[in-house]
Amino acid sequence: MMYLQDFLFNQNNTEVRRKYFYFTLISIIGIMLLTGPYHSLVTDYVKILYPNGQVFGGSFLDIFLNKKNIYNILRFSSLVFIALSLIKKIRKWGLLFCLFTFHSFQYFHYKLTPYAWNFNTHLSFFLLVLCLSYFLEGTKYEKDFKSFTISFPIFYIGTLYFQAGISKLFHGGFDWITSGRTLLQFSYFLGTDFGRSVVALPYMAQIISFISVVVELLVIFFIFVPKTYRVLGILLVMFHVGIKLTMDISFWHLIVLFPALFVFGNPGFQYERR
Amino acid sequence: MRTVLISITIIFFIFQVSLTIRNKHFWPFCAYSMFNRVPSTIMVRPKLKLYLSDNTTKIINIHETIPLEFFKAIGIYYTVYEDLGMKNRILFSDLIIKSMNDMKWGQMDEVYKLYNPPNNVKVVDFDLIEYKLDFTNFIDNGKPSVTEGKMVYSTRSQR
Repeated sequence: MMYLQDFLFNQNNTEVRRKYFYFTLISIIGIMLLTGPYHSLVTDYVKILYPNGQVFGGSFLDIFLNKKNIYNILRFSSLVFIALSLIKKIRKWGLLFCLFTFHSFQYFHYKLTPYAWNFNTHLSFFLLVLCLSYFLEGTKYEKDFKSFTISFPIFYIGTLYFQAGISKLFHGGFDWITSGRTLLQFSYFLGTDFGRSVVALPYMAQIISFISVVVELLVIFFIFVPKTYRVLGILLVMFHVGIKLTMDISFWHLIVLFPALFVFGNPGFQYERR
Repeated sequence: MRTVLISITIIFFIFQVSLTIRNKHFWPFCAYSMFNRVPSTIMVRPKLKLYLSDNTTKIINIHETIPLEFFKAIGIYYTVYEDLGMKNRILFSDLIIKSMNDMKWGQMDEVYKLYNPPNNVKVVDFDLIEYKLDFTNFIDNGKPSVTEGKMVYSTRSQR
């Protein structure tokens, strides 16, 4: 428990790292709002997928998904609030309104699709802690929460990888590693020519599958070892570059946060003597 | 404050892991269950066989027609063509054809580039077909053996 407490509240250099984190996070959200996975065609799909126009059971929320102009206004306003947050004096308000509009935007997309597969909701959680940290400035909670603004996203990332690792073992079993079939077959569907040729080498799919699960399971432990942060950050980016080269999936909206959290600005935290 | 934040962190971890074990999402909490199953050696993948105005055909992946993440495209297609009525199928098919002929979007990570026909050529119709891919001898052959399977829907039948 002491380790957890130090990890959460004794992060190094929180002022500078929070700044890096802030700029990276708003850049990700801005790029996503501009380039997708959002598109005004969503309003047309809604009319077809929900013939009665009642995605939200006929409540006032339905208007957001049924009207293209309202959809576009919501998207545009998220961008405006992000831009407003660049003005330091009103940053917290810009972030708060962006949190509301962006999270709503995400929610509408989640409601649209038949499966709840949304792998970018970490952005809303990160925006929430970042926003709170600015609102708590000048209070007695400022120092703790500033650290929490850095440590919680790191903990989230550790948990995310741990989930991905145990998910493969729980639902795929050891066969997930020993057969290598998931990697082989999905590389064929989604991957690059390079990726297909690499995984088709003898035992390569099994080796890569094994390494993937081991990496995913171990990240959560290394986040409690501050000296490893830089190496961990760089290794995780390389891990994803490998996935991009083979499977053509980057998970970019997560990995571009790693330099801010793990590499730059004296990353890590201090253990307190007790 | 510290006690509250420590509690939130621990509860968050337990909740997230429980979602993973149950393989359930509780939006915005996510199970992060991507690629967690071992697929069968014979996989069924829906594809679109396009009929172009120059009397040629072209087979494309269905995620090349939707500006959302590729894993959502299949769900949307199956919902429309298996769960909804004919009127909605026609509306959706027309929208997909119109998108390919008149719109453009590029690839961005999990969103794939929209298929556009060559200049002065239009997409006229499409068949939604389930292809069977047999990966049994994938390593030896470098590719699965592909056979055309069930036709799920054809826009030619609505004309």
